This record gives sequence, structure tokens and C-alpha cells, in this order.
Amino acid sequence: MKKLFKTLLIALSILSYSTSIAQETADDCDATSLKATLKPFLMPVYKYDSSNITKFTYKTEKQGKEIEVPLFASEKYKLLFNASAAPGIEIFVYDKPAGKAGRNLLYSSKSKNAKEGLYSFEPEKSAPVYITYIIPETGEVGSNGCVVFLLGYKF
Amino acid sequence: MKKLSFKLLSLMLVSSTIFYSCSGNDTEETEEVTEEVTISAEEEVSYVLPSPLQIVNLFKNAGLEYVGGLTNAKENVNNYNAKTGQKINFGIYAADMAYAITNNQTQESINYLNALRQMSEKIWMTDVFNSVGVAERLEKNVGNEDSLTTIMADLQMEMDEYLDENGASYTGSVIFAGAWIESMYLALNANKNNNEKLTNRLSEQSVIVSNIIGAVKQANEEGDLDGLIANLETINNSFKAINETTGVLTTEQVEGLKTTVTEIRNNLIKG
Repeated sequence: MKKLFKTLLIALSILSYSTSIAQETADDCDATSLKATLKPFLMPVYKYDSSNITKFTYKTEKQGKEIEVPLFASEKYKLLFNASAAPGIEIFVYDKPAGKAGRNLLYSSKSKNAKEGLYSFEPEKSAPVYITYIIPETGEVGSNGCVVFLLGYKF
Repeated sequence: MKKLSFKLLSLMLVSSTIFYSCSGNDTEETEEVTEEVTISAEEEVSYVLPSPLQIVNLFKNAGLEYVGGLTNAKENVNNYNAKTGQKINFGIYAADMAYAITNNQTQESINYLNALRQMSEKIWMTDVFNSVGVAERLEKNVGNEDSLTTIMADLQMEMDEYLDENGASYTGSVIFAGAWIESMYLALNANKNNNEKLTNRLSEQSVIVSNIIGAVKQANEEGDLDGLIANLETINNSFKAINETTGVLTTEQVEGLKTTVTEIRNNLIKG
């Protein structure tokens, strides 16, 4: 009886753990609420302009994803990121696309004391930028993540 | 579909860069980062396209004036039966609404909102308009350009969310393509005096055409957007003549671009 109870307890624990992982994955990629967390950071200077949701699956090797964002001269922009559903991800903003010579780094999420995976960058000079996400390798292959990018524009 | 293949082993040195974090306190005036990154991947590039409101606002701030009768007639809303034409013309009406809003034409804004609402029913986006309560807010803010801008920005956000939630974010690029062509049409046809600032802004749009083409190609899984892609590539060719030193279109080149864009836009609004 005791053995059966113990087996049941282990089975229940495994079931509960799997459910929480599945729920975490689904909940963590709730783009609407991830975006909603960023909106207050636009106020009062900026208004919503556009956004991008990058969904991915962790793999055993590092992955890179790039997003092109056109910014027009003399205009003011704020780039906001919610990476709370993308543990371990690194965010870089460059002035040129990947692989192009003379590519300069404008912003890096590294060494930032971000609150709950939220990052913000206001470029001093407005010109097209290239966002690179570096997704870390993981032993937990198959787990999902997502990053929300939101662009604020000063009208 | 544009693919990016890159293998990078780099040593990055960053200096004299000011960073901000959401906390507002994480400001570093000078930061030197020595970092080793190895990427070995073949990944898709994605494109963030600006809102029609931003494009129209750029032109407005450069001197674009309001010229009545240039926009697509509201009555044409019933002419669009094909799905691609509906999405493109939704974008065209969105640009027309932005043009009306940035010029404080409240009644026109409401008229175009109604046109957009009718179009949204055709492309299954009715909920977007109901959720923001746009019509009521527009009526309450007659004459207040800043509030009207906020309302349209909110509408854009709701629309983007709706498309994301329904796995239709690619539709957004088709809508934007329509909006961008209409914005270019308005700026080129209302630029009667060859306003230099506006010509500079029009020239600057060359940087965005390839992004729009890239984004529309990603949405073109069934080949139904081949025509739109061909139109955008024709416009892109008009930009290729830009003097690389000045980065600005000459008067003749602006005229050529105007002819091209006007012809394409007039065909698109036929449905």
C-alpha cells in the first residue's frame, strides 16, 4: 500500500511538472500580455508605431535571428524589448545587416540590469537598424520561447 | 524568401555609447565590451514595417499639404471582391485616414474610418474596430490632432495584435504595401511646388522599398501577391537612379516616380 502510494505520488509529481512546463510555454508566449507590459514605457513621449513577435524553439546549438527596422533621419524612436519569455536570449542592435563589413554595435542587452527581461534603447541617430537575437543552446530541446519588440515613435 | 546565412566569430569593441534600460537608471556613458560570439545558423530575416501614420506624418512635417479629392473615394469600398485587393485597399484607406487625421480633417477621418470598417468586415477584422471604440473617440476629439493621432496609433496596435493572435501577421505587410503606395501617391501629387524637404523625405523612402518587397514575398505562399511584388519592384527601379552622393531624387526623377506610382495606385484602387 505504501509502495503504491509512493508510486502514485511520483506519477502525480511528474504529471504536475509536465503540465506546469506546458503551461509555462503557452503562457510565456502570450504576445498580447508581453506587449501590454511594454506599452507604459512608451509614455509620455512616444506613441505605438509597430511591433514584431519572434517565436522560436530552443535547440542544442546557438541560433541567430535578425530583424530589419527602418528608422528615418531626424526622427525620435524608442526600441522596447520584452524577453521575459526567452530565458538566456541576448539582444544586439547594429547599424548594418549581418555579414556586412563595418557593422557596428549600437546596443547590447548584455550587462544591463533589466527588470524582468525588459530592455529599452533610444538611438541618438536615426537610420535603419538591425536587431539580432542570439538564442542560447540548451539541453532542453523542444522548449519554446518568444521575444516581443515594440517600436515607439515621437509624433 | 530571403535567407541569411552567416558564420560570425567576432571581437566587438563598443565605446562611447549611452545605454538606457527600462528602469531608467541603467545609464552608462562609456562602455567597452569585449565579447566573443559564435553564430552558425541559417535564419530567416524578418522586417518591421512602419505604420502608415508614421509615413504620412513624415511627409506632413516636411510640408505635405492637404489637397481635397486626391484620396480614394469612399464609395469604391464596394468594388473590392478579391482578397488581395481587399487587403491592399484596406491599406490605401488607412493611409487616406492618416492623411485626413494629420491634417485635422475630422469628418473625412470619420468617413474613412467607416470605409475601413466596411473593408474590415470583408477581411474578418471587424473586432478590431469594436474593441477600440474608434468612432466614439474620434467624434469626442473633433479638432484635436494629438488625440486623433493617439486614436489611430491605438487602432494600429489593436490591428497588429489581432493579426498576430490570428496567425495572420503576414497580412500586415500586404496592408502596409497598399498604405505605403497611397502615401507616396499623396506626397507626389500634393507636392505642387517641388518642396525640397518633401523631396528629401520621398527620396529617403528608397530605404524601405526592399523591406516591403521582402515582407510581401514572405507572405506570398500561394503566389497571389506576384502582381503586388512586381508593382513594388517597378517603384524600386525608379529609386535606383538616385545620386549616391546626394541621396536625393532630381526633379526629373521625382516626375518619373510620380508617373510610376500614380499609374500603379490608380490600377490598385480599381480592385
